[in-house]
Amino acid sequence: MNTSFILNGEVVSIDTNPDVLLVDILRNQFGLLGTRPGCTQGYCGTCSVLLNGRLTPSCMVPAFRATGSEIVTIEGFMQSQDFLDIEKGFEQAGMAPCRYCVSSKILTTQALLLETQSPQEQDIREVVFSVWCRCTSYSSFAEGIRASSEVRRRRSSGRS
Amino acid sequence: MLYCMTVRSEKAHARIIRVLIPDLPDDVTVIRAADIPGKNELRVRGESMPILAADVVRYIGEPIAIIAGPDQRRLAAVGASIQITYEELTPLFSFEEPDASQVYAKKLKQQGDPDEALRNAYQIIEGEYRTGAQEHLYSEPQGAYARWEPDGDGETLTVYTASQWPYHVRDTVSEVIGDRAETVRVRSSESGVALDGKLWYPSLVAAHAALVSRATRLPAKLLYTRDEDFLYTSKRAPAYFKHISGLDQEGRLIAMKVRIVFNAGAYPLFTQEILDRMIISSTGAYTCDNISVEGVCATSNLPPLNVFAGFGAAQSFFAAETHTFRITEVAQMDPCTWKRQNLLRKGQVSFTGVPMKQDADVAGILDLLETESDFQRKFAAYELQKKRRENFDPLSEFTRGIGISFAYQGTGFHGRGEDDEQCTVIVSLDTDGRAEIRTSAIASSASLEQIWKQNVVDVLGIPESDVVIAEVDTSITPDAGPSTLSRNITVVNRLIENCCYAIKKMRFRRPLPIEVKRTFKLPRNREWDLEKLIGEPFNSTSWGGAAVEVEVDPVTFEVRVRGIWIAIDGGRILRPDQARKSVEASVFQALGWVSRERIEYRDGQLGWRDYLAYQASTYHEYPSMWVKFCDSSDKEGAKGIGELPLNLIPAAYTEAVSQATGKYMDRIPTTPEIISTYLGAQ
Repeated sequence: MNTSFILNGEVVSIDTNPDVLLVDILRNQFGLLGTRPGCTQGYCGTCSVLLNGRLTPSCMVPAFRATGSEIVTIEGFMQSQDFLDIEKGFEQAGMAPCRYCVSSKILTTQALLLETQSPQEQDIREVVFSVWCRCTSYSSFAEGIRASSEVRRRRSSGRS
Repeated sequence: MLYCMTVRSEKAHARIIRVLIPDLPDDVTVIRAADIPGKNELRVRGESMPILAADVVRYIGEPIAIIAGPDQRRLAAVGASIQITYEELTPLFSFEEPDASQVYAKKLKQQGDPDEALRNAYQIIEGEYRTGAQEHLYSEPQGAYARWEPDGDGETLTVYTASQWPYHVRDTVSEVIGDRAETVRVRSSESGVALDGKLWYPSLVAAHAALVSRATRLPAKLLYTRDEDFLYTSKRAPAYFKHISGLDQEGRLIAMKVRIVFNAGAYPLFTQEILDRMIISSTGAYTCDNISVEGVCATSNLPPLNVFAGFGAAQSFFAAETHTFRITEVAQMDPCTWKRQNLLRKGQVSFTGVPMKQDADVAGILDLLETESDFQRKFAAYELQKKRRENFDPLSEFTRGIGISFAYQGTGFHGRGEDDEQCTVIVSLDTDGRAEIRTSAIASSASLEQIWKQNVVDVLGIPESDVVIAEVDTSITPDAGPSTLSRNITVVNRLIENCCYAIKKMRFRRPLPIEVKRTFKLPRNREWDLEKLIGEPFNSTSWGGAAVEVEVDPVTFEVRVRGIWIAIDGGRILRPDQARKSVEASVFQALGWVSRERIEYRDGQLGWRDYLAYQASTYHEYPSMWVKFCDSSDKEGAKGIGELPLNLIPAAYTEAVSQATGKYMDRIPTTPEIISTYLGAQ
């Protein structure tokens, strides 16, 4: 079955089967290794990508379901100014996640900041639990999100 | 490329009578024990387990064969078509009262005359404590990829895997395929925090993949599914403790008798270190003249159960500290007063027979915690509330409690094995002014890499952007031994620093490039009696205390942590902010273990539901946390601190829940179901 979607800004087409997952396509066919499988149950969040701007665990999406969608992985997102905001925010907060979960924590932050540039504490509390990894405390991740939000707001208002 | 799948035992203990392999497609390969060209053995510090079960299986899920083929989806059907006939043997799952056949190792350490002291004691307090298994829950499941790669005129078998000990993978694979170690190359895949879950298990998975690649000459990939990983890989060893303590009229500890039994599962590994650490930690942070501790390592028909950050110390500290709570209840003393009276002080002799060298004494930590957490006022208030409630009424209001605990973290254990596990680091300065750090130690976080690079920045004045850490590859990076968080800080970091100072001396005197190699060896003058457990057991020791305040829901018995206070004397803190974050991350690991993460093997196995329940049970809150690093007189070296919360938080949490509920909680995990059972409310 042929499927086309926009991957990191480029239109791509692949041959796939109904039981092939998006995470496997991204890693095995496109070599996008920043999307990292973890629990493969949609629970841990380490394989998350932005699918039409929404944070989505790629282990739960059959590749053919992505037809016509816009997918952004960490490799694509790293080319954007938005990425630099979050990188700076994490750095300012002294947040240093492990190499395995860092990309999903960045994309999780981006998904939240796309919804609101000034997330409330409750919003932050909801998203910090969406990436499960023993490397960082949730409070540390929350600090990283707050700092990223501040950087984004400053840039948006031309103060950075 | 071939995909691999593990064919596993369905029996907990059985003799393999026959393995019937049907006609297989030509492109499918099966590897059994008899096909192993080298040794069918994974060895760790003199102990071993089979790579593939040959005649007898000893736990459900034990690997019997590896099947491999180009179509991953067909493998499950092929695996199901293999028929294995067993003769069942009697499995043993319990371990607290092991029978003779289960006792794998036993050790007794005694000082003074505890029996006589108990006879003269004013009060005797007994308690039993149990700690459950804990899943490491590393982010990436176990896996390995093996392939032949050209190397000069010949070839090497290159294995890619996420291991905390790449040279152990290399040595295991080379022994299994029956070739020289130099013909195997191990390259590290990206990994997250493994908490010792990737210390030895990747060597087993790598050996399986390597056997397929050796037999077929094709690349082979073996990647566990997440549930497979949860169901069959190793966990933190569960343990049982019995404490009997004697007090004099003033409440001073005059006798301690402790019995420890830990469950090592089917194949004990790291037994010496786990047992020794459990024994020497079992007296906690207290002084007593008459002590007897018996430690037993028991086997059972469960998967191998052994290391989790701390090698057994956390279980022992939990029991010791929870027992002190019981002591203070019986002696009717408040915990701080009792601890002040009994904590080890500078100059006093520890259980291992050496005078306490720490300058910032633990009483200083106690003062700090008491003030910051407002311990005395809260403890008295909650005690009053508790006494007013004769019986816990499930319909009454939320109840609160507060607990306090002390522990140490020893780094660089002088026990067996480390002599053979030297740590080497190379730092080079290139002609273009760039520096490279080469080590097989795995830096699982960006912050640790920053700490390593900072040495080069500080000593050689090179910008961080010009410092690189070479990818771990046993053909390039030297052997650093097992990578644990504390070793990465206290040993690897020190070596990098030493290399940098050596380069600084040579710079401008010798032409570039300059390369310096430094190897850590345990000091020759160390005095540690392996049999008697007497002397200085660690290279360095950090001390700490924690207070935990909780609130218990009277209807659901859910526990909410209201606050955590931690004070640590950890020597020179390299990056205080990163150190604080490392401590916080460890607090969450500890909270998960003590409050929710429950692993209960039923008839020797876990099920799919256990896996889902475990995933859902991980800690999903972030309480307020106060972390303080005390001024330490020891400015010289960095000490390990990352594991301290695992030694501190469980007991403080359990004490707090005990006060809030009015019932002694004596086990890990203290789940709402356990609380409900203890309250008789089910």
